[in-house]
Formats: sequence, structure tokens, C-alpha cells
Amino acid sequence: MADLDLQRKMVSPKLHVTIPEPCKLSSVSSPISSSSSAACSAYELYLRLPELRNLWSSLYFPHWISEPVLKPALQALEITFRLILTVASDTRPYINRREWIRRLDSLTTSQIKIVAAICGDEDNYEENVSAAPVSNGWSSLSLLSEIATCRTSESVGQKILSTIENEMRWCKYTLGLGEPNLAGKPYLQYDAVCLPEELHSLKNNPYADHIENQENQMLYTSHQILESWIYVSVNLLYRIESRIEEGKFEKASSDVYLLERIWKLLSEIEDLHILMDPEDFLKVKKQLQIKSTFPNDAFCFRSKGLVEMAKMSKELRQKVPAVLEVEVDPTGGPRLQEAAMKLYSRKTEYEKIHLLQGMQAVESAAKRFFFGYQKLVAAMIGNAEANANRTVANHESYDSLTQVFMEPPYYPSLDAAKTFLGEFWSQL
Amino acid sequence: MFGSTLDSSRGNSAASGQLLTPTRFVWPYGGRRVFLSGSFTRWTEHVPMSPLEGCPTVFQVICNLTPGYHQYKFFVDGEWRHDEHQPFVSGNGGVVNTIFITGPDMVPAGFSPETLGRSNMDVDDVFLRTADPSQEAVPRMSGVDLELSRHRISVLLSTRTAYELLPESGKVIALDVNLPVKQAFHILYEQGIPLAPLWDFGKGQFVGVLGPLDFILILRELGTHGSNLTEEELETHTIAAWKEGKAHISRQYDGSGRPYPRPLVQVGPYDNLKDVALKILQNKVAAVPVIYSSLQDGSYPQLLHLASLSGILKCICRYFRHSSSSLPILQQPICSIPLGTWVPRIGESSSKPLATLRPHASLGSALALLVQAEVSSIPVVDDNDSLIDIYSRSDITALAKDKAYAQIHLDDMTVHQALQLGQDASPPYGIFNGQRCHMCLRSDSLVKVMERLANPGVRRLVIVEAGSKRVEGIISLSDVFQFLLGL
Repeated sequence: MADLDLQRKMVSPKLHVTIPEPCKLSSVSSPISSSSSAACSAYELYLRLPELRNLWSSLYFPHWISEPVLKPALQALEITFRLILTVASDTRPYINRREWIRRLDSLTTSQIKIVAAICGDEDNYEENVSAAPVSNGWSSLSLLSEIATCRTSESVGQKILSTIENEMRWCKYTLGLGEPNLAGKPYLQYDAVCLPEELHSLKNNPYADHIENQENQMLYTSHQILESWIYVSVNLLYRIESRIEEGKFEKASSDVYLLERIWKLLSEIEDLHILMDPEDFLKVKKQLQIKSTFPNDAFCFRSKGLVEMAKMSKELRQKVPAVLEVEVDPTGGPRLQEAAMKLYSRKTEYEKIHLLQGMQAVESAAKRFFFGYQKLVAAMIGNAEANANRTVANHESYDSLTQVFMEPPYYPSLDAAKTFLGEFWSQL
Repeated sequence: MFGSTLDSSRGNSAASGQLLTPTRFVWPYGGRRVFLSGSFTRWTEHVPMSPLEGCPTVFQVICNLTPGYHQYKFFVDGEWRHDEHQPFVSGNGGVVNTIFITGPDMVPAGFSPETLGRSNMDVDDVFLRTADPSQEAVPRMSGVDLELSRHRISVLLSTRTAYELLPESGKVIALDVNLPVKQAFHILYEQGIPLAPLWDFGKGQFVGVLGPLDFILILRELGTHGSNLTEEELETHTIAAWKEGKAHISRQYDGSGRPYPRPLVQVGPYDNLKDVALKILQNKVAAVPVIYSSLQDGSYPQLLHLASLSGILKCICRYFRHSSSSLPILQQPICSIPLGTWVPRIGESSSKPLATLRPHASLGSALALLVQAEVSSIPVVDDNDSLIDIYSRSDITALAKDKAYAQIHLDDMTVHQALQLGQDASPPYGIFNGQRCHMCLRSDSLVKVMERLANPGVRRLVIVEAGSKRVEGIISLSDVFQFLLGL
């Protein structure tokens, strides 16, 4: 939602027009498309994404295959610690501190679960275990130790430490953030992987000095978490594609379910907005010049990363023929559908079933994200500006967000396979 | 499944209590955004279609349709289009595609890949010729119904054994391999049977089958100049010696270079009917001997029966006679299912050409076709392609009468004359209801075709055009089984 048209970057609405003539039906060629480049770069500058991107992508351990996925995930976690401290030190008496802490605790837990799943996935492949950089020492730079000792946040800090202890149970190493480590496992070189110092040098947003509004920091930090996870997902998507190409369907399916969880996590991050003070939020929105300039331009489409993630998630469907090991019939015959029906009913290649189910789970999680996002925006800025009140009344002018979650199934053949399999059993 | 009363377990019944049939719609001609609209959405709602996984030019959507006649059209990038390869009609509102969804006892339609080529063209034809399309709409089969029916048949055949094919009383004739060939054919002719298993006393087992193909090959061999097999030799030539010689000849005719001799194809009484049918189909034989041996090593075998597809089909027909709705494809007209060999239409290429003969063609050419085309019969047609008669492999035994084969020359005798000979002889088999040629129409239902084919002696039906008797195709017993078993 932190999408901005800063005054100096103001662009005329003409730039947003993607298709000149709105025909009788909806007009946008691909439902998922980025906002204008000016709006996108304003968004990038505000979140200091170019600098963050350097941190996400600086890989120091070339033999460790999880690094491209795990590094930005740990960085997202570290930024969450910073958000906890921001909330804990917020001076406004009227904020819903209890709910904030509850939500942030839950958000941290979800992230640790995903981190543990990435590390645990690594454990399955013996050859890589040695590649994860481990040592005997704790992290000295993570903000978690500060949270766990600070008077206002001590209890949530302790809770997070025990969450790490619990969630990392199935991994061969642990994070080394001060958790008890009763199993005496080696510690990940957290500071070398996550680079907390560099990360926290990006703590202040470019307008921190001239915008007097504490929601500005909340908005800024939560979007940094969001973008970090988006970066994780894009790398994960590349990994899914190559694993499918290599025929490693079981590994690909475990990644696909991770991706589904990240889509849900993104919704959880976006939902933090609801805890912001309504008036302060609308004020910061004015101060940052966030507004929708065109009906077909949802704020979230200013994140190029999100657009890419959504597109790549959708394009996973191109891998279905490879998974089913059949070629598509260009004349329209139901070859894929029949292959899927056979796969489902024979139950021999179950890792493929898991993978295809996971892909459909990603579709529904992605669509759910955009649906939830639209409802959230409406709750924050009102239906009129969110364009949300038009979805039912005017069927033919869906905004871009509605088009995304109203899109027809990404997997028509799997969809049909289930319809006809259901039909088969209902008639038998 | 589809009962006359509404089955509450059927998940997709509409609120109104009407049965809905999921139907697949395809637009395989590309576009950026494709929608489906039709009478079933009252032409107001446009259902977005999804590009197929891995093929962005094919768009698909599944809609639940009520039974009846529906019209539809595609909205492709702002333009209304219809698909010329799907049934269509021209109406007041322009050209629209059409689909007919059948009611509870009939079969819903879908775009089955097998039917897309040929039968769609036929369906178009029907639509173009009639004023009221809903009267003549030919239902097409959905993949589900096909799978469902195949599943049920497969279950039935897997649970029945060859034992059930045995008649309450009957006789089986086996020939000794040391019998002279000539005598063997006279026996076949007199007994009115097309083939007989061969018994080898020396080995104490059944070693093969003597059938019409043997006779055809012998006649052709006799006709060949310079053959070392002469008419006189037939008197002394034993079956065993012939079979040995055939191994040599068959390599000439049989391009497949099938190794010979092959072991006898046989089944036991406890084999299930599905295996029996598969064995018959895979070995391309007319019948398999059912042989029982009480001993483990298979010695002292007893010949119980000759199992043919016709007997198995009879079993299927008997079983489903009173529950035809549980096999939805049974009501399907044969022209809408990929069954049999059809005369290709103009502009259409067909993988299996349909061979026909004129009555004045020589018997020699007829026999050559029977052997080379690996078919068991050839329709005999006049100059207008209207069916006159049919010449089958088994008709060859008619020549055994009065040693006719000894006097004739294959290239001098016409098919017509050979058939005349057969009619005079009129052996008891191969004729059912006094009819030699069994016909059906393209609009006949599968169940009707199956019931006719289940009659003994009827091995194939010629599909003819109503009125003109023009040959449109042919459906054999093995075609039906290949379709029912999904081979």
C-alpha cells in the first residue's frame, strides 16, 4: 500500500493507459501488470529497494544452495525484529500496542516456520549439509537480543527465542540468536549470512527527517519485510522451475508448498495495516502522496517484485505438461486432462500429485492475497477510492486487482480433470 | 447413475432439480482474452476461458449444461467468433455453434478427442441438412461416459470366466494333424464350421487350428505355376505337412514376418473373459480353443469349446440388457463414436482405407485382398457403391463342395460366381435369419449394433446409407471390442 506518487515524480494519468480503447469487456491485456514506471521507481526509492537488493543478492557461500532463498528470508526476519522494536518504542498512547505485539509475534512465528522449512528441506540432501556455514558462536549483531532484554519487549523476545528452539527442531543446525539450543547443534553464521549491521543501516526511510508521522516508519518497515519475502519467492520460483526440469518432483513439491505459505505470509504482513491509526495513516498517505491515479492501478502493482512473483506463480502452469509428461494437443484435445485423471486415479506417482496440488494451492493463495488486499485497501482508505464498490455493480469495468482474483483457473486441465473425476464418482 | 428419479447423491444437480452435465468447451485458435457465451448463460454472461497449461493458443472452460439443445459462440479479443470445426448453424443472429446435451437416459456431449475429426464433420452435415437442428442433433459422447462405460465392461469381463461361454450341450470338432488336407476341408464344409483345432496324437496335445486362411493359401498355392503342391498331392498331403509348408509361404504373404510356427493360442476355462477377448484381439484370430487339463503339466488336455468374441459380446448384451442406462455409451449412435472403418469423406484422409470389390472381380484378386489387407471380409458393391453382397474368408469353404476348387482357376472365376456357389451350398453357419449380409445405419445405436453382432455367424455389419444402400463403413466384432476395451 505504500505506493507513492511523490510530488516531484507526479505523472499524468495518460501514462497509466495500457490499452487505448476499452472495449465492451474488460480492457487490460494481462490482469497482472505493473504500474507506470514513475510510480514504480518512487516506490523503490521510498523503500530503499536498490540498497536492499544488494544485501539480498550478495552471496558469500557459493556451495550452499539454500543461500539465495534463505538469506533474504533471514533478512526479512531481522527487519521484523526492527519493527518489533519500533512498535515497542512508539510513543503514541493511542496505538493498539497489545494487538501489535500479538500480530508481530505471530508474524515472526510464521517466518521462523518458513525459515525452518527451508533449512529442513536442505537436510534431506546430505551433500549440501556441509555447505551451510556453521560455527560455535552466537550472533552478536541481531536485534533479537535487544528485544529479549528491553523492558517493554522482553516477553515477546523470550517467546521468539523459544519459537526458534522449537521450530528448528528438525534442522541440523540452529539460528544462533540466543535460543537455548538444548540439542547442542551447531549455529548458523547468522551475522555473516544475514548482515544485520548493513540491514539496519537502512533503518531510516528517505523522508524520515521531514515527515513527522510515526506511521511512516511502520509503513516503511513492514514493506521492507514484504519486499524481502517477495525476493525469496522469486528465487524460490526459479528453483521450482529448475527442479521440475530436472525431474525432481518431490523437491519441487516441497518448494511449491513453501511458496504457498509465503503468499499467505504476504497477506499477514499486509494485514498489519489495519492496526495503524486510521487518521495517522490517512495523513501519511497524503504526506507521501499515495493515491491511485487510475482506476486500473492498485497500489500493490507498484511493486515490480510482487508483479513478477504473481506472474511467475501463474506461469508455473507452463510446467504442467512436463510434470504429466505429455505434450499439449494444439488442436484442443483433452490430453493433459486425461493424463491428470490417470495420474490422480492410479496413485503411483504420488510426488507428482503432491506437486500439482501444490501448484493449485499457490494459485488459490495468490488469488486470495489479491482479494484480501482489495478488502484491506477498502478498509483503510474507503471503498470509493479503493474502487472496490464497483465490482458487483458494474460487471464490465473490473479494476486490475479484481481481474487478478477473478481470473479463470490457471490450470484448466487440472480443473477439468477434477470436474470429470468427480462426475465419474458421482455416477458410479 | 442417471435414474428416472433424481439421485440425491449426484452433486451437481441444479437447485431446480435438473441434471447438469459438465461440458468442455475449447477455442484452439489463440487470442489474448477469450470468453464463452451462449444460450446457457442467456447470452448475457461471458465466461472467461483459460489458456491451456503449456499451450497459450488453446483456451478451455468447463460449463455445466442442462439437457437439451444449446447454442454458443466465442468472444475473442472483442470479436464474436464461431468455430467451424464444431457443429454450427446459421440463424437470425448469425452463425452460432451448437451442442446437444441428452437427457437422463442418454448421453451428455463433450469434445472427445477421438471424435473431433471424422464424426464432427458428420454432425455438421446433419445440422446443415435439417431445418430444425434440435430434432436431429447427434449427441456426442463425453470422456466421462466413455470411461465409465469402459470401466463397467472391464469389471464385468474381469469377473466372468471362459467357463460361462460353454453351451449347455454342443459338440466340438478337432482334426488329427495326420489327416490329408483335402479331407479336412471336406469335414469343415460338411460340419459347417469355419475352423477346427488340430490334435497331434504323437505329442498328445493340440498344436494349432485349421481355418479358412489355410484353405485360401492352399488355393492360391495351387494356382501358382511351378508350385510343388499339386491337386493330386492334396489327397496325400497331411495337415502337418501343410502347416510346415505354410511357414514358408506365410513369410511371403505376411509382410510382418511373423515367426512361424507360433505356439497355439489357447485359454483355460477359468481365464476371465477380458483376458480371453484380449488374447483373441492381440493374436488376430477368430476364435481360441478353450482347453482344460486336470494335470499341472497340461497333459491330457480336453477341448471344451471354441471361444469367440461373439460369445463374449452376447454375455455383455445379456448382462446389460435391462440396465442399459448404466452403460451410457450404448445409446450413442455409431457415427458419433470412433468405431469401425469408414469410407473417408472427400478431403479427409483415413488411415485405414475400406476395401470393396465389384462382383465381376476375379476370385483371385478377392483372395489376395483378404490375405494382404488382413481383413476377414470385403463388401461387394455395384458401380454406385451400393452393397450387393459380402465376400468373407469363411466363404472359401464353399469351394469344397463337389471339389469345385479342383476345376476352377482363381483368376477366371468371378466373386459373383463364387458367391453363387456358396448360396447353393448354403452351409448352416454364416447365415443368420437367412441373411448373408448384415447391415446397419450410421444412426443406429451402439447397443443395436452389439446385439446384432452377438448373433452367431454375424462377424461384421456393413454400414450403409438408408435407401441407396451405399456402403459407408464396416464394423467388425473386433472393432467393437477394441472400442469397448479402450485399446
